[in-house]
Amino acid sequence: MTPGMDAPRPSPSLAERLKAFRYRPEEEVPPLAMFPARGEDARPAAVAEEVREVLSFELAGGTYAVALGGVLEILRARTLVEIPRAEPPLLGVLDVRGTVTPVYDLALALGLRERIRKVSGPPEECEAVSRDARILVTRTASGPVGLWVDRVRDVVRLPVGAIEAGTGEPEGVTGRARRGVDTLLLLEPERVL
Amino acid sequence: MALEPEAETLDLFTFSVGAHRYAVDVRRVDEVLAPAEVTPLAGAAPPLEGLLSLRGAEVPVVDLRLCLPAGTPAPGSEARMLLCWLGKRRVALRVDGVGGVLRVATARLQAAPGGPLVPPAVVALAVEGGTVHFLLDVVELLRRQSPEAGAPG
Repeated sequence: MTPGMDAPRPSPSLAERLKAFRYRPEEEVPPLAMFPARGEDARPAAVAEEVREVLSFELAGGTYAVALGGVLEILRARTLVEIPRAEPPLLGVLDVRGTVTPVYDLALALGLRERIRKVSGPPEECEAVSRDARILVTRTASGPVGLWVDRVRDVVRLPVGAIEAGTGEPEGVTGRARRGVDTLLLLEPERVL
Repeated sequence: MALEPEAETLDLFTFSVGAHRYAVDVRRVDEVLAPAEVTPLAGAAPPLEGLLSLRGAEVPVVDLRLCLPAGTPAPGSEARMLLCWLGKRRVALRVDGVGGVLRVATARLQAAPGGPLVPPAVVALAVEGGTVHFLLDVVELLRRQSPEAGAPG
């Protein structure tokens, strides 16, 4: 092989090489985000550094969390519009700026309480709403859904490596993580309801 | 006369790394960003620096200065991140400076000679105003950096 100091030769491959130069959305690309460290498969380390942001809240004395990305807003809990023949755990609906949003009793859905709370219908029939109670409006495949919780705590950044897989205890609990003395149970709202 | 030069043109986006000027297909460039904070990724090997948080999306950041020959950037050039499309994903490329859009006739492009004088993954040369722009196949360049391909050095 002669080093490339010879006269520029007509290259039949120029057009071919320009083809690769031109951007095509369907081009094949190397797995960039997964570049392992040289000489070792660094994937576990890379995964350990990944962080999931969750919103933690209290429910019947326990601490739970949902993915922060799925939370659209947090509303102060209030009495709801009653739905005739609503099936538990549906509590009622709420007008969230023009969108009729069903609100569910998350504690009941998780089997943490036996009786659905009465928070819709005539005011005199409703139970008092705790000052701390909140409705988490979360995104689901079927549109926004409200989750009634006892109290919102804070946003927690959990290293993915610190999350243990859920053991299948209440349906919808997909993982658990230690948080100081507490155990955070991670929920997927869609699987709970 | 066998072939008539075609009037076909190519729009390039030019930038500099080290002492050289490079160009990519302008359609590849999504955005030019000021250097921003990069979250290091455990286990990431150079040239992968980490992740850039961009309006809710995480974009890998690759330091192109580690993939291309070193050299002193032209005075006055300002470091930037070039947000580029690679297939359907985006990657931020750290460069020493950006130029702009340059339209060249493909007939005027010269095939890149092989050998050690030309940076890796250069497919052709565009000489405009006395300046050589290396047309860079970014996908190929990054493929060569991935460990499976046997990263150089």
